[in-house]
Amino acid sequence: MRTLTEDQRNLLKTHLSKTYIEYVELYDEIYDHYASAYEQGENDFESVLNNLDEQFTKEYINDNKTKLSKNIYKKVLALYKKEAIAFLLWPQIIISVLAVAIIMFLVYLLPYSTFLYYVLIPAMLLSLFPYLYFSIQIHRKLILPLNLKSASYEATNKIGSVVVIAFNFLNFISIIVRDNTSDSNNPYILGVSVLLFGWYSVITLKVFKQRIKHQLA
Amino acid sequence: MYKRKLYICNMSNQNLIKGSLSTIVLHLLSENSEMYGYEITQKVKDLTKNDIKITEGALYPTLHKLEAEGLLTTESRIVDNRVRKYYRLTENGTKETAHKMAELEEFLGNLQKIFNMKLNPGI
Repeated sequence: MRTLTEDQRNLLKTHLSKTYIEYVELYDEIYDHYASAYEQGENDFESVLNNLDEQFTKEYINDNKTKLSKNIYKKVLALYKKEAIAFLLWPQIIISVLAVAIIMFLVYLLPYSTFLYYVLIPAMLLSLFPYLYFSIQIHRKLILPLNLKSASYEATNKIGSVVVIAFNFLNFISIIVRDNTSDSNNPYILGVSVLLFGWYSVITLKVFKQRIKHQLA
Repeated sequence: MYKRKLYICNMSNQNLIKGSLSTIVLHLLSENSEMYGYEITQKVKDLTKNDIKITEGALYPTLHKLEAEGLLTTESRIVDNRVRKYYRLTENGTKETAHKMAELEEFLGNLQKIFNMKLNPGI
């Protein structure tokens, strides 16, 4: 079986970069189809490009763009739901209960300032790592050479912004319902908001592994 | 425009295939556990001895539609330094395939009665 040479790979990349493909999910599928058609077929490289260009037209790509983005958002959301539910099922439920116990214990035991500096801020910094990693890698691998977007990454960000709003809202509520005689925020709300953020970070890493990691390979 | 080039057949049977494309895809996946887009087009071509060629403009929208309906699931893997998307049936997809195959069988049986023909003249 023939394989694409380095020059042909670059030529195919350049060829596809001239089309109107916006999302890496569609690009990967079309790239593999062109490459497979050449490697497993008998036509020369130029003929493969010309024949398939008649199929993957501008209209086809435009028509698929919106549908693909919507479908991927639904899939990523379903994945978040599935992973979130998994935390409540055996055997992950043990880890979930332990996490709740530890966070609630820390919230109760430590003064607010200690909790803020040693638990909350490190936890938030930790959750920033995957976000920064995704952003840098996506920019380096997709945006710079190919000018592509990742629909899965967009969906993850969309869901993430909802979680951040919920996190901020819960903390805002914890300040409002704060006992004036005490210097600490409501521990239940604070604990729940930290748990929510931690939960979201772990699930996002799993979603990244399943849906985005291969795009950066 | 591309819709005009959905199916290439050497007979005027475009309309017959048009209504059966989902069933064809589901059936092939039920027999092959997982397949990628190009593989499906080639499989149909081979099985029908080049009589039916499912074009990419028809195949991928069908695959994406079936995936959105929850009948197919996908897994992307790195093969030869590129990403390849494999499609496979979900649990619902397996049930739907059985349902569609039963429907098709019934339909073919009825056609046979109407035209009084043998479907496998070679056998």
